[in-house]
Amino acid sequence: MDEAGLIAEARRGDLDAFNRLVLAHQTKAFNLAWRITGDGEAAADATQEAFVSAFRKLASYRGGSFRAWLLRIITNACYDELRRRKRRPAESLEALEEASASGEGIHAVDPLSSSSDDPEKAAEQAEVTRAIERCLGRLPEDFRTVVVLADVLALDYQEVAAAMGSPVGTVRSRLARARARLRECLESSRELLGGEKRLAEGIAHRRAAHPGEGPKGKTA
Amino acid sequence: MSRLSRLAPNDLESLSAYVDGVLSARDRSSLEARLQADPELRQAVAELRSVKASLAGLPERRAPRNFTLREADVGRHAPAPTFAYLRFATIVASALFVLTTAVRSVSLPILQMASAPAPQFAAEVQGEMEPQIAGTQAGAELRAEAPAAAAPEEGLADELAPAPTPTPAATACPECPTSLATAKAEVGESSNDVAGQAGRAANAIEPLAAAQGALALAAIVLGLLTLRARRP
Repeated sequence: MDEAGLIAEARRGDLDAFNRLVLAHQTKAFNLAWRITGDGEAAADATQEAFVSAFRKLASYRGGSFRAWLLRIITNACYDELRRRKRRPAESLEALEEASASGEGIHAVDPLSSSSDDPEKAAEQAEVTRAIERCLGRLPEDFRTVVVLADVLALDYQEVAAAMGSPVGTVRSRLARARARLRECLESSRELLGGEKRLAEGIAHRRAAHPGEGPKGKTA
Repeated sequence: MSRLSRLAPNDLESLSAYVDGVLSARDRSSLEARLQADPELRQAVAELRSVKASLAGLPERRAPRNFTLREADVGRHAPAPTFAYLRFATIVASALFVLTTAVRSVSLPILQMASAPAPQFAAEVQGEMEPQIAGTQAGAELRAEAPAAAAPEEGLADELAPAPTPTPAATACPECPTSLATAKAEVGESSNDVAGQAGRAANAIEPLAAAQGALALAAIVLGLLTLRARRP
């Protein structure tokens, strides 16, 4: 059965049909919640609560992107969860990074990716990831949500607008400002740039090693 | 302050939209003309692309568990074992109540019909024969027997007996009294038997009525308990 059919069944109270929709969308939903709250447990609670809420609110779904409709409920559930926990996401993200650094990483670099072939590059990537997460956590809620929806989850502007309940024009300007602030954070933390610099320096050093020896040998 | 933060808000927005490929054809070509002329703008585009790529490269985390809902999550409680048993008991009690009601409602009229006609029939037979045998001694004996046969309606024969007057037919059939007396006695006995059986059956129905009442009460009590068990 296609999504529209499942939605129709779920609206008639069919929980099995709704659960098939849950399974289809839960990864994106959870990742949005995780990126907004910066806390796995809070994200899981918000996601569960949001799906319950979505089932009850199905009558209010008026067509369009079901995913965006669902992600809006997830977003609101995350804000509620954050307020309930009265925890700043940045702190949560820092706790997450510590867990990651101590080997409990739940966002460890994909072991199947090519970067794992090179431990140095993998470590570099992990450092960049931590820097981005830290900077994401420092963004205001609506800026963080817009970049997560548009750049992390790769939703188009219309879907982001629907998921945020904002006009497309607002999404466009907010996304631009959020990106600029992220860039500024990354620059100021120097982690990303430092990593890039170290990488560049490493490559330059290796390149310089051989030619450097030649002239030295000649001159000596 | 980063290069992006120094841009005019409109330029930042246009460059960000350009990176996403959502600018109109006209806006895109005019921006590309500016980009060719301005290395600062080109650098800003590179920075925006870098941020966008960094975010896209963030690892996706698998959901820690399935978020599928159970009946209880949406306030629809799955029937508890107690609830299931109570519901079953309620259904059984209700079914038995309906059954006993049906048995009573079907059997009572039949039994009433079976027990009522017997004395009437005996009385009718007696009434018909009375004129013929009134004058005979056998008639007198029969009169004594008939009310016994029609026990439930005692006195009917006595009421009927004086009404008819003796007819010549009674004397015209001297042998009649004996045969009639025998026939009358047989009829009386058989109708007495039917009436007796009907009476016994009617007596057997009485415990059924009591059971019916008990079942009705049980069904109501079990039904209430079932509803209570169903609530969270």
